[in-house]
Amino acid sequence: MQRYILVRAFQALVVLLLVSMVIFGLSRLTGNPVYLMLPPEASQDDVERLNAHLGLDRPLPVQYGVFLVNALKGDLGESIRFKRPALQLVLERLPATLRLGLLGFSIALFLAIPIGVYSAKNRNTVLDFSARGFAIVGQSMPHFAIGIILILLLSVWAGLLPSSGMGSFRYYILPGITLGYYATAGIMRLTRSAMLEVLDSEYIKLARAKGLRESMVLWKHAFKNAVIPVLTFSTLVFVRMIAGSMVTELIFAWPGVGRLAIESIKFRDYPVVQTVVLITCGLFVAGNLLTDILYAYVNPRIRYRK
Amino acid sequence: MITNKNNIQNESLNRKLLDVKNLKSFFFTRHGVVKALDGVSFSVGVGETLGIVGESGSGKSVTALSILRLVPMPGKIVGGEIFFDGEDLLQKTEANMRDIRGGQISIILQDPLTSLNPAFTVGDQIGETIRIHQHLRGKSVMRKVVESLRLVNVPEAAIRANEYPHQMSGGMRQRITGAIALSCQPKLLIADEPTTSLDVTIQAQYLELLNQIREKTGISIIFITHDFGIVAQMCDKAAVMYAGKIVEISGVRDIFDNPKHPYTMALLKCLPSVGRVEKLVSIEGDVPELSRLPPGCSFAPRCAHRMEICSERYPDEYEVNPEHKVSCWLKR
Amino acid sequence: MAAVEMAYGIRQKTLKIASVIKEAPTVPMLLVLILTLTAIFAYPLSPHPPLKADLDRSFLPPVWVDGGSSGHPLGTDKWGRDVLSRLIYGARISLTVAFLAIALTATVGTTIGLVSGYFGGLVDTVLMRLVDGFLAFPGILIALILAVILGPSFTNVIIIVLIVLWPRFARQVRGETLGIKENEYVVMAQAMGVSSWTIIWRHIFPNVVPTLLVLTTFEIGWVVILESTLAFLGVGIPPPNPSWGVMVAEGRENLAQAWWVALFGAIAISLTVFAFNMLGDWVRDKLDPKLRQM
Repeated sequence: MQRYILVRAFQALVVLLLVSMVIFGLSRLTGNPVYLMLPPEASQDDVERLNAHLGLDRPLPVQYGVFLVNALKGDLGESIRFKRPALQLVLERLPATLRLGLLGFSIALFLAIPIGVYSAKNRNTVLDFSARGFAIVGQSMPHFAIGIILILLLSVWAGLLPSSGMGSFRYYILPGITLGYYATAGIMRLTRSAMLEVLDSEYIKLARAKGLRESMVLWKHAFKNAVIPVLTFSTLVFVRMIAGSMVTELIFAWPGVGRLAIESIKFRDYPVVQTVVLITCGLFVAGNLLTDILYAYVNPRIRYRK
Repeated sequence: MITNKNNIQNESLNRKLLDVKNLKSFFFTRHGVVKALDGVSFSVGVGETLGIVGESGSGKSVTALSILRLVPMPGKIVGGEIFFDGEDLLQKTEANMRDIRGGQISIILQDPLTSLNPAFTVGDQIGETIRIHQHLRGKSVMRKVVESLRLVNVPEAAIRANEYPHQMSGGMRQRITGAIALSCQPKLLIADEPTTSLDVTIQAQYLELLNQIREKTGISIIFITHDFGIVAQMCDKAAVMYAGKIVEISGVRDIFDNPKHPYTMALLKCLPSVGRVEKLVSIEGDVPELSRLPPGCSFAPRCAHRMEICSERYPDEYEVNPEHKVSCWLKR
Repeated sequence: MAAVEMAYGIRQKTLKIASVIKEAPTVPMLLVLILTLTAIFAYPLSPHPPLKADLDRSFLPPVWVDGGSSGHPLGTDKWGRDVLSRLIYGARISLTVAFLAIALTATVGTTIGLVSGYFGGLVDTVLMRLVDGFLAFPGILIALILAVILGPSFTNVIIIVLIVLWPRFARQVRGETLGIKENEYVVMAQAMGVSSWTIIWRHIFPNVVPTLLVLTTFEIGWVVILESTLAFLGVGIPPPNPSWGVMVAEGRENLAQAWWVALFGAIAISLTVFAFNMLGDWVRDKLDPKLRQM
């Protein structure tokens, strides 16, 4: 298994490198940011001086090299809008996003897995149908649609929960549900189908024939096998939530990275956008790596390769 | 050494360990009621081996599941009695049944690969049974696991116990399922086509193993198979099943020397004999759909000896001798 | 006689299609049909031009609320534009984008998949590495980044969908191709000297069609979500086009006073995606339960 992990880790690094190249390339594609930074009356001389100052007149690979070195030192440029280091801006807002993400993810796991398991066990009952109904509806709605409807129902009309900003726990509820809904639906459906497949197996029949209690058959035997695909899916889902958080944060005016990204896009604040993308992709790649490692650990067939 | 506490060879073999009376198990499906078992009766004595023979769909496996009361939905046991050690299993609570499953009656299934949980070591799976039925913990469990593995002739038992199913061969895996089944010294072992998915040579080894265990422990076995050869090798009694009913049951010699039911005779004719060149015989027609059985004898449409009464009433059972009973209108 | 035969053949085919459609789950099928018809007949169906502003009648509530008017059954927005009409045209926009984008992506993706699967070798390896790379990232992320770079427009949305979605098609089709390639009739054709392209077109492609259908119905819902999300964020189909996402974004600004603008937009999107997803599920179950793992 060690070899497996090392190979995967190496692949992850390569991907990260490629991603940084792509990002770098894209940002240069959108035109010279120099024109944004200077007032319109700037002379050609000024342009050239700023170019040289920013190192934008050097050949592309060199620029990339500089970029990479700087990035590793933690210098990812300065926000055009705030005139502060981009990395700092992003890191300031990261905790808020992560907290929301963790909440959404926890809701998803703690709700979806038991519901999925019992839905599979009690197939075609009311519980099963309503669970699947909720899941399908949830997966049919984009984040902003869920958010708007929740806000209308619980904030505007019922006046129960706040609809924007971050504060006490009450502020977390609506955004948390909005962010987590899609994940919950997905995890629930996967758990259910994985369990259904496993419950059909011969070894489950045998487990019952051994005289085990039904709850033990369900959780110790069936679930332990069904959880493998669910686990890998869940880690993927968590990382995808990062994308979904952009919309959610925008709707709920949540002071996180997602909202920063959207605003920076609108204001063409490239260094920040670049940084956000880099960090997101980095988290994503790390998440995938973790998933792979987790999968290898849990699946005895990979763990104990002769 | 495992000594079976039921090693009562001096006790009369007349004592019936398992006595099934008129067992009926139906499946209630969208397409109709499938009468998987429609009034099945047989018995197994202490230390005796009964073979249940039939084609696919005859109800053999449902019999096994019914005894353990593990008939899956949409099936239900709708009638009859199953006396085990003098008590009707159909009257017992679920909790009591759980004690019996694995503890007094065990089962081996057909496919050893899918019978074992890929997520646990072999030792874990054997140990689990020991833990629940014998209430042991820690090192004593491991000791019993190794004992069980030795009982089924698994070499290097202690090392094997920590391996996973996917690390073993088919024959080895089937021994493991045997070890699991025998770990708590049950009185009755139900073997549902245990050798069907094994290679022929491994098959022979496995049957030999079962024979040894039988002699050592005096365990009763119900051997479900479609192979008369195995019946000849392993069984004291044989019951032939067709479309949910037992059509003929007798001591094993009688089945071969003096078969009475046309289906039994046809099955025996289907066995190709080694050393002679002959045409392969098969039985005309198909097994009927269990939800739409014809009136009268279910085998009548395919029977070479059918008479008018065969399509009208199901044959009454008659005795050739106290051991040998047949359900057929044809008395010869 | 030939004409009669042809007419008969057409009748048979129509009957077959009709019987298949009858088998489909009613509610989703009906919804999809209604949506498609609405999209096509948007002009005669809408009571008002969707872009016509009438500042005197801004923020009119739906007809069943106090102050509503039957001329605007679902109310009006900030600029007095009729919500119902905008919804109807929104259907046209969403469905057009979805269908066009999927058709394009399916074509490109399938071609790549077929080529990669059939010819194998270096081409296959390179293409599949590319596919893996794309698939490694969440589509929405890539879509957002691309949308920012390319800017909001109808065409750009379609391009974005193409870039994000082609790998999924390519990989699935390649997998199928690999399997079909092993079949004897393919080997026979090769032995007979039939050209590769002909083999692909006449033998392999028809067998890939079921998978394609499943994938397509599966992804339409996703494309609608993507398009509306991009529109909502301002980087998709630009206002004043009444894409549902745009409607929700605009409606959000005055959510408390004029809830109807945003709500109906959100409901429209959800219903549409729901209908397509359910239909997709049914198609998938019907054609190949094995694919359920997708």
